[in-house]
Amino acid sequence: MRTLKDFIKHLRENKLREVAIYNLNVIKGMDIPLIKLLQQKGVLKSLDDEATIQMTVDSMSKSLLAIIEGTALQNAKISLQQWKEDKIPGIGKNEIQPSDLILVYAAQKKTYQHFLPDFASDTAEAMAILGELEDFQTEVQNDAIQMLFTIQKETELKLKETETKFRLMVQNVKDYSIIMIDTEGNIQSWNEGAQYMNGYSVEEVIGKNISIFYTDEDKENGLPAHNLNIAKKTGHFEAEGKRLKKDGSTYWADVTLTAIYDEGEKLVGFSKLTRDITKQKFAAEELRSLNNFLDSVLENIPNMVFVKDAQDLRFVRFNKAGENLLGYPKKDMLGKNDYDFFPREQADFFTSKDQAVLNQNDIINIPEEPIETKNGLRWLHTKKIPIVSPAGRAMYLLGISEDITDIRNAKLQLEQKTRELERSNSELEQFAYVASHDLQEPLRTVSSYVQLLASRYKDKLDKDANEFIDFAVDGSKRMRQLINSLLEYSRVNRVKPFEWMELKEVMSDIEKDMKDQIKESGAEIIYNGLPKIHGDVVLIGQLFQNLIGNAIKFRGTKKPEIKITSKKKNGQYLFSVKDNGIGISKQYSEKIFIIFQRLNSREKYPGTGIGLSICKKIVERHGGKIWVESEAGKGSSFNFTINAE
Amino acid sequence: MSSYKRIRPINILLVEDNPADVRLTQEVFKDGKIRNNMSVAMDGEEAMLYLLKKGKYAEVQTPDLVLLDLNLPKKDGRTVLAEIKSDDLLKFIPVIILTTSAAEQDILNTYSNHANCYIMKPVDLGQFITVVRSIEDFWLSIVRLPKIEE
Repeated sequence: MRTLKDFIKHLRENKLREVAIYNLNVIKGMDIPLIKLLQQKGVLKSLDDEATIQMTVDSMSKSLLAIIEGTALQNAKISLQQWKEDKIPGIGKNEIQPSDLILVYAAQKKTYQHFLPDFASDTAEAMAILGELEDFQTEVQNDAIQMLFTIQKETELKLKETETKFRLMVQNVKDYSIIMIDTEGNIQSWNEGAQYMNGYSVEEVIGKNISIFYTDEDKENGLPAHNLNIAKKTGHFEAEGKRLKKDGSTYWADVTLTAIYDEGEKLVGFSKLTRDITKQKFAAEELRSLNNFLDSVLENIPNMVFVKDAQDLRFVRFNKAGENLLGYPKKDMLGKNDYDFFPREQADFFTSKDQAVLNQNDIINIPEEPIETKNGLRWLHTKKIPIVSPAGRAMYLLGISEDITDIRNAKLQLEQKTRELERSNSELEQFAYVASHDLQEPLRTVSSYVQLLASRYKDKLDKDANEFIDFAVDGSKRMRQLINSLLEYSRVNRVKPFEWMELKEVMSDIEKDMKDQIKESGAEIIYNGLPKIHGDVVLIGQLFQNLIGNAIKFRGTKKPEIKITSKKKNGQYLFSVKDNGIGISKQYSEKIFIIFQRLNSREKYPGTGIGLSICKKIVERHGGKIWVESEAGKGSSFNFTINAE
Repeated sequence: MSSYKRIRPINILLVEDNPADVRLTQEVFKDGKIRNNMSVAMDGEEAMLYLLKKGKYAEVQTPDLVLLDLNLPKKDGRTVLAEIKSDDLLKFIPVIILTTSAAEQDILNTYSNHANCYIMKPVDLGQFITVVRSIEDFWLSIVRLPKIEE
């Protein structure tokens, strides 16, 4: 007896086209949704055209072969697997329903049944094949449906899972308040972010109106309804504003309302997305206040500050001091360049300096530059500085100018005064020299005749005459000393070329000159390692001799001990002539260097009071300073510096 | 020495514009050991007229010694010295520069012009007397001067 396989083989070999056409007709009569869908999508045109027939013939041939070879079930699984993976062209896996499969298989069964009577040799054979066919079809169909269910379940689960995840995600977002409200603004859903931002828990807030987030002032102004109305009309509303938290504090919110419509395009509510932008607002505020601060710094700088564009040297910033200095308001300056304001010559100068700054990429200092302002000619001390981008390209030129007109005038006046002073000083010196020189002549006459008078007429007149003559002789002697000292003093600045000298040689000459004084006083003069110095030999000798002479002259009860030391410091030699004499009280330590200043009585310490002022002049002529460190009764240390070169 | 027993007094020409100095010099020489006739010329021109025996000086004797100040009116001492030393009849007369000038330039120049010695006038009378005595001792006693034709 022949089996289902024989029947199928028969169909495939002899009746394939007929079977396919019949199958299409059956399908046509069955109104299968899947087929309709395929036709809707244009995958299938009509069920009568040749292309569809041929396609059906091909697929029928394959499925019949599968039945013959016993791989039908497997093939069905493969097809369903393709479905599962969404690989069937033109149809999504969600678009197939179990009913589709049942109908397709039913159509197949009906087709095969139709051809069975012609094939079967008897009823028993037909019944057997029919049974086999039914079993086979049922098995295949059940498996397919089973698989379809599995696939659809998986998909559904996944969808559910995605929805859950999405819901959780929305709920858990903390940085944004994402809530749903109905058309009247009543809260429908609430997320973590909303709770975090506003402080309300979900139980507290569901059903409440969003007006609870608005400040009293905003509520009075009807802002909640106003905003909602805009969203209703336009489907969208976006704004920044102050919002209220549960605890009454406020924050800055960036709010977006988006309308939600149902399938019938009816408004059902809004999604409300809110972000807390307090920090950003604060940062912006901070930036603004920083800007204001920098602005006020710039504006309050009492020097003119300007910034020019590096490209075309036009003013882009200008401060108040600049306005005052130049006499032009800021608005006139900005966007203009030097040629719009200053004489060509000056503008050329400014511009050339600007370009030098930008070319060298380095600060330039212009100690003095004239500038023609609305208020007349002024003089500036200007610094120009390049401002470069991080990439090293010059962006701007920064200028800072100080108005030095007054200082400059004062300086010029001072220079003038100094010149006058120098001239009058040298005139005075000249005068002192000439005067003291010319005084010598009459002095000599007076002093000579007084002495002549004394030698011839002393004791020949009366007692008064003797006394008068004595006073006259004394006076003329003293005058001679003074005039000699004055001459010496005014000679210090008579320029003589400097030369190198060994100080120890100078010292030994002095010791020879002062032999008598040293011997008489028992003075000990100690000096070691004195350097070679550059100066006027005569003056330097005079300096040391004066100081040593003073140390001997102003000795106390002890034998004078005079120590001369030197050390080099900052390009100068520092000398010290130290004694153990009577010393000088601090209050006089400046006074003693003034010409004709005496601290002691003439009877006890004779002298003109000019020696130390000569010392001071000599030291100054050698680029140094002289001062004394002393205390009454404790000796003195005369210190002075002299340029080492 | 025989000079102490000179038959005739020494003739000295003092060229000096300052009357006080003239008198003082005369006084000091008067007190000196050596007999002398001191004539005075108050400026350089007068000195030259005297030496060249011109005008009112036609009868004077040529001096044995000239004491010459440098700073003089009309013709100054430097010129007078130069003229004396370039005149064959006068250049043998010793010329002693007696001045207040301490200028190195003056010292050098006068010696270059054959001054016989350079003395700075001391301010102190005692010293002046010493100087005058030294002049006497040296120039009028020790030194043998040429014999002046009358």
